[in-house]
Amino acid sequence: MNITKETVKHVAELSRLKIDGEFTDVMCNELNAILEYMNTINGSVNTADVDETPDAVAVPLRADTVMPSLDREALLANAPERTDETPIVPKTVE
Amino acid sequence: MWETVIGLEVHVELSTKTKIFCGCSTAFGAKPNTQCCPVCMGLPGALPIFNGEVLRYATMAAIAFNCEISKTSVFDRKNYFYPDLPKAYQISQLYFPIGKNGKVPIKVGDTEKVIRIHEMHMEEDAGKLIHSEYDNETYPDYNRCGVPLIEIVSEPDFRSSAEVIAYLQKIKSICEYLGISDCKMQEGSMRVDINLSVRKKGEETFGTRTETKNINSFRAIEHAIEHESARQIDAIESGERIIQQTRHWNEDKRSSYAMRSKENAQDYRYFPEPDLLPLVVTDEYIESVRASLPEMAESRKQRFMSDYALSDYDASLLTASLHTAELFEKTLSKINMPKEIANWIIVPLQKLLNERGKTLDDVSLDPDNFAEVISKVTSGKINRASGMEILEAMVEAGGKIDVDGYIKEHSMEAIDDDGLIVDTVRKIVGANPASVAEYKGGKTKVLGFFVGQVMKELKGKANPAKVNEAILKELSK
Amino acid sequence: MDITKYTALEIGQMIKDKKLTVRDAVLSVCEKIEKTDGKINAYIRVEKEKALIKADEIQKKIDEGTLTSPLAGVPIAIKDNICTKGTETTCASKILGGFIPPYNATAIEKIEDAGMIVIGKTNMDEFAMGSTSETSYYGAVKNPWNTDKVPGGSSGGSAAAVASAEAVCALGSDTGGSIRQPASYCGVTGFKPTYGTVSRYGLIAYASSLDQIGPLAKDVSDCAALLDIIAGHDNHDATSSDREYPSFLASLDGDIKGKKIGVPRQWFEKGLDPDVKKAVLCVADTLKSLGAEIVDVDLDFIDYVIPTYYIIATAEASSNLSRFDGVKYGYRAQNVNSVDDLFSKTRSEGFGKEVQKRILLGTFVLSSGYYDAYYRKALKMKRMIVEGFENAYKKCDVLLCPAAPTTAPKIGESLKDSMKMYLSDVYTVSVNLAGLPGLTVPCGFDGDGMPIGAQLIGPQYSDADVLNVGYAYQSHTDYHKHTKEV
Repeated sequence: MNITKETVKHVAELSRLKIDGEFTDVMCNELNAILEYMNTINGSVNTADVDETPDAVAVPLRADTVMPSLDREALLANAPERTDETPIVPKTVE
Repeated sequence: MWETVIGLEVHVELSTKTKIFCGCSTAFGAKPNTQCCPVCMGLPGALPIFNGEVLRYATMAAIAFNCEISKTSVFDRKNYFYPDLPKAYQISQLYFPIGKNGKVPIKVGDTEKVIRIHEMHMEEDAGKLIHSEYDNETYPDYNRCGVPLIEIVSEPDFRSSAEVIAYLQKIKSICEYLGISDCKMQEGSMRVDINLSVRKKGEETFGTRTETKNINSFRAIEHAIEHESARQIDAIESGERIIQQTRHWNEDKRSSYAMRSKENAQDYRYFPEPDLLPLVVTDEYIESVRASLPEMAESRKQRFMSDYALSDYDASLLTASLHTAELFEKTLSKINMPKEIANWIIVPLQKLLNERGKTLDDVSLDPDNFAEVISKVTSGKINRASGMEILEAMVEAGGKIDVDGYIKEHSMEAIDDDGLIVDTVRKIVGANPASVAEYKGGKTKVLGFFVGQVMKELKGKANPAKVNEAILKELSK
Repeated sequence: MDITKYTALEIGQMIKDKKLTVRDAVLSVCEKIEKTDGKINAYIRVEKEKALIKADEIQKKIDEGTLTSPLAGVPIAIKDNICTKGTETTCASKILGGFIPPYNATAIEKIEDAGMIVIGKTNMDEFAMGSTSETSYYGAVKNPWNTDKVPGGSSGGSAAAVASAEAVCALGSDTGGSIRQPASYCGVTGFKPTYGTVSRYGLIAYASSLDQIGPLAKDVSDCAALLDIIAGHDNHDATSSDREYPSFLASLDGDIKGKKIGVPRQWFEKGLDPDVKKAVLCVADTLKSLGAEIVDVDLDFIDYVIPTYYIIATAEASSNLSRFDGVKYGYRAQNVNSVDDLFSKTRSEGFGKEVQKRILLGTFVLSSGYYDAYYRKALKMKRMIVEGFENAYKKCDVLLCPAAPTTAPKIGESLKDSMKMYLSDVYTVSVNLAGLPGLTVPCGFDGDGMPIGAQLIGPQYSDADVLNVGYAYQSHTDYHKHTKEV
């Protein structure tokens, strides 16, 4: 199986990566090399009998007790563009 | 003839004190980003820790919706980019949800029907986006990120908006009785997405469906269903094909529009959340939750019938919503008049609320106040019409007013002066000899005529019991 | 006083015995860094001032007797994907430039509670994605044994810092060999604990189900002493085990009589450098001479460990790295016209090529229509690998194998052929897939004088056993004591 440039572009869009020009070809070739290798190996491994039920190791449960939130200033200090209360993004509605 | 086929995805916000994966408060209405931490804001290196109370609430719901409960369920990541989702994935459940194959019985008119639940799972809520009115900017507020939700996915079992509304009211009632959510559509603590398709009656295969989102009230649900099924029928009848798409409902304009194609071409790439181990519940756990379930609508209805001698009809209406049942019982603890209270709730109060498009969620009627009004009427301190007027004022004021003050202000006190009542009765009786003769001739119906005349003379304010008594006395002379 | 030839435990003892102040220990390490790091590039950031302030605080506590850890006062280098409160943490990526965590990783809390001094943040492959430490936004790390060669990766900065004596010891992280392989290339000792032993809270995730923090140091005793500090249950990490651990350091007795050492013959066949093969098989002889029994074991899953690992790791990475979008922290692209534009521009400008490639691969294997053929298949193969190890441990206590098929390659070679680089992880990735403890100990040199590492792998939670086999080996060999002046 070969993945096409269109597939690479679609996957890039899902990943929010701008892949264009020469880089599309490079990525396409490299991904194909990896996938080709994977396909060969995967095809030779019989996994028909493998049990897929999740392991029964229980996730720890936390008590429903309010803990102090982090100071807003500390949380927002790293935001590259922000107001006093929130980060800023380009408007998402018309 | 066309048939509308509807399936619902209902999100219910759980009312735990803390978020699903961190200890931040879930309290409503805080300043933006003040109920956040590295976990719910998706800072690098932060990890989720699951809130055990969410599991308990979800298990309660799964039991109440008659679901099979998975002994081992798994959290999955749903991946998509949006500024209200700081990790760019939502922790949800897809492959192994907590509940499967549930059943919710509903009743529309006299017809009973069972709606099948495909699955029920737990997930985290996203944040809120605040849009600037002046600039081309949007401001993410992450306070709601990580508030726990359950999503209840039905099979496509609905054929009308009435069925949908009955089902949603049932879901809401169950969640309220369980105490796991307040289910307020307007505040977003209950959200409904409608999957709808149409087909010719008698056809077995489903048509292509659309999903309608952004519906914020029961009324809007009705509108959206009517609109979307009409839109699809029109399209098919004019030779178009229905496109599978997500549509955004606008209640103000009573119309919907298709979301951009990018939003329609989502590929969420679900996979098991590696930061959390599987969730294991034992039979003992499920049984302990079952044993601790609060009294639900059906058993409360039975109790109302046996303890208070109410009819099946009255008891059903009173217990359909927890708020109504609670108002009834709390009022009853003040004045022991079950039938009277039931009548007040079922007729005038319900009418007042319906006229305003409200329910007892929105108007939390004070039981003391309510009891006061009823007892003033039954004891003849005010007449029934004044009682109704006061009740209306209470609803308008959001549930509570100064009853005595209101009566005084509107001079509603009943005329209790025996002398005045007897004088008036004598005057009326004296002025209507023909009617007196009729009465004496056995036509007791004219009694009503005398009462009416006396009340009219006294501007409707006389204590009716006393008026009745005085007329009988006068006529028997 | 030049402390750089001493082990961490020796330095801790000298501080305790008042033969050395904490301040002098810090200054000595900083001096070495200043002299050497221009050639090695092991550090992204050195925090000399902060370390000196801390040194005085710690000295006071040691003098008061309130700090009793054997490593109190000892300087340590931290891989730059572990969050340090108040100190920039970048994962060697442009996209996290300027990110100053408002919290410490649990491992850092524990290091600080023990009185160790964080001296700086070490260089690495961007987001720990690489086996050579060349993909860093801050430039490639050089191997102290030959600066034309790579130090391995992704914890190449931590390994090179220890090897060049620019650090007494260091923390790294290991997702597919990122501690054990650079330890092998740089001739130092490195340990990846059983998954769940060290909290991942504050470790910026590459692949959450595989990542584990661990020590790199001059010898096994130092690794055990560090593990004593950083191991333990953490309420902030749901995958952290709630076991109680005995002291790993105290359990090192060097007695391996009767221990069964398994040698998986399939792992010594194609693609293995003859010098490496010879050196690692020599380890078996040494262990045998110490009373261990050498047994042949069958581990045929070696053929499919690479696809299994790269599918699972990149799938998780594609999701873990989605949060870097220019909104909450780090780099943000300018001149954007929409939210999507902000996201994609920020991410394509902020991530390096290798990271972007792995995100694309991971997104692809999870995407609609491919999930079953890749991701689901990989999960099944992962189960088969876990079972393969379980069967092997019915016959032996600890497995012996190489840490890497060759010694360190030249800088630039691997970037030309990334498939070859991926294949070079063949001996390490299965250990992460099965969540096992793995130790690299230096065991010789190739014809060019480059170090060779042997890997010891135990069943889950046999960390103390694995370390003890390594300790016995080091008690009778001196490969770990060889150093190279840069």
